[in-house]
Amino acid sequence: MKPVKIAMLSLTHGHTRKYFQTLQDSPKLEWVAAHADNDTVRERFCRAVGGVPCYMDEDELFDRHPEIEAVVLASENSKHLSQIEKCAQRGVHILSMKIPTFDMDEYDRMIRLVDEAGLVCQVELELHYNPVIRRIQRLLDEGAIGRLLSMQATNITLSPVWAFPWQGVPELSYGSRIPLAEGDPRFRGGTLCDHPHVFDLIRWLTGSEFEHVNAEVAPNMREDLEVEDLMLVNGKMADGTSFLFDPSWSRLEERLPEPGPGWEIFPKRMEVNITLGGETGTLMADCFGPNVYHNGAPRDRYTVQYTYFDEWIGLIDEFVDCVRHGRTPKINLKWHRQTIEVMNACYESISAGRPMTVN
Amino acid sequence: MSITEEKQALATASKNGLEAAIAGLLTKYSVKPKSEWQLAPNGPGDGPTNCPDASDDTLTLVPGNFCLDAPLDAQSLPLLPWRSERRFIELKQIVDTRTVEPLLMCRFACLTDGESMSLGNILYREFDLAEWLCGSPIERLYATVADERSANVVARLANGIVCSIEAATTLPQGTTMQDRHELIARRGIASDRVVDTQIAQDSIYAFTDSKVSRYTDVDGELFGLDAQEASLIRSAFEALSQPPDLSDTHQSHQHLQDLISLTWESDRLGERLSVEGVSA
Repeated sequence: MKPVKIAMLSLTHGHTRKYFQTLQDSPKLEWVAAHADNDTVRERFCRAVGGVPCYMDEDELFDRHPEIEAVVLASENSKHLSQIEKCAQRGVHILSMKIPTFDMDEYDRMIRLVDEAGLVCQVELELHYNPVIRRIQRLLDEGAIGRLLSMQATNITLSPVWAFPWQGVPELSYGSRIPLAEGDPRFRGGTLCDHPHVFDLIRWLTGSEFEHVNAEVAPNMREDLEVEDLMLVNGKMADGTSFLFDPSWSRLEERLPEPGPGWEIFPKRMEVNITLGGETGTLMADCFGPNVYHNGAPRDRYTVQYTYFDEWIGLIDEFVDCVRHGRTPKINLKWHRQTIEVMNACYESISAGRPMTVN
Repeated sequence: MSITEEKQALATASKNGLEAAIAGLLTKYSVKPKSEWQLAPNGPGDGPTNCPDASDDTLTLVPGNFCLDAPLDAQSLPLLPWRSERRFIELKQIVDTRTVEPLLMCRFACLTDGESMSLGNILYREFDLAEWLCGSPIERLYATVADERSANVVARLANGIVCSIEAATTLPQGTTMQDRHELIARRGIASDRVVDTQIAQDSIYAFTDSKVSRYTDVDGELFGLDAQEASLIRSAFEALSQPPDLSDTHQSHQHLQDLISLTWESDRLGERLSVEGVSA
């Protein structure tokens, strides 16, 4: 199969670095160019990746490289619409970050743009390509625990805001400055905006949609953030499955300007653990393990060193397949819409002080 | 002997053994209880819960969470044995000494096979742990329940701490209880589970010719008893050594039962419900 000529835009998203290796290694891609939003990310890019031209202007990138077939939108959430508009004009396929936008009018505009231009727009929810998730799906399909009754899941991490400041700015992360609740000095745009995965997974695993959702925020761990960092969510799916999610930034971090060794204060920087209770049994899963451990450089702290991160390979495989064969990706804009809706309903629940029915 | 009779016989043997262990501690530490006492026949591992029907002045000690279906007899003392379990004592100590502080959020989970503890038994225990460890009553909660076998609760305590409780009886029969208690503070996190693990570790794993055996002995004085039995005995011994006000314990018991009722009600109505008399 002919490699897809691809570029990256902005380079400001937290997942940017994860693409560096994948875009270089994948035989299915030809990495043509990159665009950097500012000098800092450009400098980081040039340090990490050699031989790929990096532009400071999106139009210049597209003008100089009309051969580009697809882009990775590695930008803050507030930029996604304008970049999708640009891609639609130029007929460039899109690999979007996990939150296209929280504004549902914008979201619907994105769907129209992509449909009218006949583009592939895949949303990056990499857990779908995680082998533990694949095993869970298989066990459920085989009836290992019978009918599903409940799902509990964590999607907890350290906070990336010190390295990716836009994730702490309501306008850039959530898209607008909306207070969490009356009298609360914090705004939408924090940890919830970083953690859509479990909201997506329960839909995938149950084949059902959200019926209602309830969310509570705790006081912030990081008092100087103006967005939320600790949150709990529970509710029910339309098929009766009860759920409880923790999408918090509850693992404390050193405030590094660039992710790297020594980032962790809490030994484990990220966890997605899932418990599924069924009529005839229970599954408990850690999606990122087993791991190795050390207490060495740079801070001599006990640290969990992850051993397995190849979700991006499966994700790229699917994306290329869709581009080359005109297929629709599993996680496309239309599928993902209800996940975004229910995340908005979580914010509404906090604001209204009650559970929200999800349409 | 029928299965029921066999279970009753085992329960009686267990009760006698636990009573003997309590009596041993009383003798060793020269404690003379103020009245006659007995341990309720039903306890952990003995299945469904019922309150003892004491007909005289004998003080009956009963784990509070195994006494949900009937009103407490005036001479019954509902125990909170988990408060005497070493891991919870240490977690409480970590909070009280402000080793982690201030607490912001708690994440509790407890899964059983439904035989050792029902959903109500679990919720009673976890609600008490939440309020005891966090030092504040639950102010409001929202719960979803599936098939009376799984309950997911998010509660806010009067001091602003937010707490989640995952309770389920979906483990296959005979499976050891799996639980986890994590306290998240601005400075530090405390937990009874090792980082990067999902289930409890044991002290000894014996890989022998015939099988793999696991042992977790937690109490030298009560050697041979598991953590739940040891904590029940410790809690009974403490109650006999320093008798609490019975009416206070009954009030606390009622409060925990009310929280369970609120859980069912919240699920039924699909609403967040406030606890009467508790406000921030």
